[in-house]
Amino acid sequence: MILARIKVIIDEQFIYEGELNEHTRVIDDLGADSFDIPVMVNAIEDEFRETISDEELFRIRTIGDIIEIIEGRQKALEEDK
Amino acid sequence: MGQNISVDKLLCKTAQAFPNKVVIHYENDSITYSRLNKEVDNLAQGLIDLGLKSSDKVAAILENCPDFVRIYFAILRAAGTVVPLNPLYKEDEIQYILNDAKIKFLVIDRELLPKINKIEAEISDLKIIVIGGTKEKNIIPYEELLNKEADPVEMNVEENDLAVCLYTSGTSGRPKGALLSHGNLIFLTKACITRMDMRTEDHSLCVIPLAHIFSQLTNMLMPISLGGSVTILPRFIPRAVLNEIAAKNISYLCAVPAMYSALLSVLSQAQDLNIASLRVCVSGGAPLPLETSKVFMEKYNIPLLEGSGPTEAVACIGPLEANKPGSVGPPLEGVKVKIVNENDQELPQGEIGEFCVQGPNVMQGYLNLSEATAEALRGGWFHTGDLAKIDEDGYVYLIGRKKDMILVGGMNVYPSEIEQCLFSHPQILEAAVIGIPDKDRGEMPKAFIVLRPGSTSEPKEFILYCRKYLANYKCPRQVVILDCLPKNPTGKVDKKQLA
Repeated sequence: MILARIKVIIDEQFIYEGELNEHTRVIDDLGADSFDIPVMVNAIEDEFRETISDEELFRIRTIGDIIEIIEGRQKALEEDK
Repeated sequence: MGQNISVDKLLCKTAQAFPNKVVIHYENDSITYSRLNKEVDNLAQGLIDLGLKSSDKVAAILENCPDFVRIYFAILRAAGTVVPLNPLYKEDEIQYILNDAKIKFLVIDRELLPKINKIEAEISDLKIIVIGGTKEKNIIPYEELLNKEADPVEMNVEENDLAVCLYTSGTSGRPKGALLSHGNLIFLTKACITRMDMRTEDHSLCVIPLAHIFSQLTNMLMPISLGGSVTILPRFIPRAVLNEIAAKNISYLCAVPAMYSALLSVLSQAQDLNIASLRVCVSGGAPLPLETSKVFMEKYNIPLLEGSGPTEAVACIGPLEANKPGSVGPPLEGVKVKIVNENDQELPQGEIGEFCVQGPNVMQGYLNLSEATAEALRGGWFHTGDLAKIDEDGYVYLIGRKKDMILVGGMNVYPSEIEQCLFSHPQILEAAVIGIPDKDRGEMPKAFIVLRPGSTSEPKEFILYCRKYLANYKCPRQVVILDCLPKNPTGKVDKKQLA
């Protein structure tokens, strides 16, 4: 579910080969440069209504890393409830 | 016999003067001058033990991190020549440079190792030093060199000895290695400190790639020679940059125009971000829009200076006290500039022509390219390929480019390099690349191609094809398939019609 929502954002911004999955690398597979990443992250934050911290931003290498951050946020929210 | 002078002495001196002061902040680590100096000795001795000889070239493929600074100074201390490669380069680009520079040692981050899979097998005598721990065969763990205690390393280095070989995009389609000596770097460090008014108490923020001369000077050589501090960020992420400025009281920032625009965009939406600690900002790599420097000055009261410097000869920076927006400033103290016409005749003040530079800032030449060196340095002047004019006060204004070049987020990209890549695709008959305006990057490459008869591929395929061989920032973001390319009467592609 998270991947499908990320895919919509990625498809709007990038041209890439094959299927998007958690192993897709942001720089090597999506062809992102340093100006693409903030745009992508902003769109993901808007979509999931979450804020990604600076430390997390610097660690993002793959789509799986983004999914992990979002999942972590959602889990924490459920635990708080 | 020349003067015994080495860039790494800049660090030795400040390590003695400020042993306990933090020189580098990176993530949760704070590195003092004495620790950095000691680690540089360990690494330098490690390289010598591995067989590094004076003037041997050592390539480093690293993202911005403290290890870049460590290995840079260690190579220089061991009397080697640093060849920093942009970590965004693809395997083909890396292989070309490793072969061209006859690299014997390569320092690379473990995460970037997949980029050199093929190269490892093809360059048999290449010693690969990997940062981040690996037990693979034929790999030398960087940490072993870093942690092996060594005595201070003293090598005989003279002013004219080569310090760095910096690859820049080439008009011929392949990158060229610009050779800068220890004397070049020391001159530039001192001249830029004076002009840019950097001080010991300044805290710089490093956001531009350290593989680039602008970043090496402003984020490494200048602060280190003064005893200043630098915070290194691995990537440029506008919000993270602004948070870091506030958190660390950053006073000095050097970036490319597209980054300043991105920062202003975030600032306009987040009023709570405080950048009042910034004392000086410097822009380089591409023309700075007047509006950007105006907003920095009028809204935030922060001077945003502009500099001009091809890798081969960093020449001008606007002075803090007498900055003229729109100008890249007068030449650095000790540097001469002039404007010439097509016949290399000097033009009077105010007239537009090619911008030429002479002085201790000018490179020694291009590696293995005697003809290109002679052409660029003809008459004892470096011909920048930029079109410029000089005003009555000696301030230089860049007007355009003589060479066909695209500036993507401050990085030089020659269309010929992209065109050559496209030509190598079996379905492409003709290709032409131009730069088009881009709100984030300033410019971006756009390709126009003509397919061979019977070819049916979509534009997407050619973008993905370029991405296999060229760094992402060089790849066209748009590809248009045409029946034929517009030509001028001599049969040359008329790019003006494509724009």
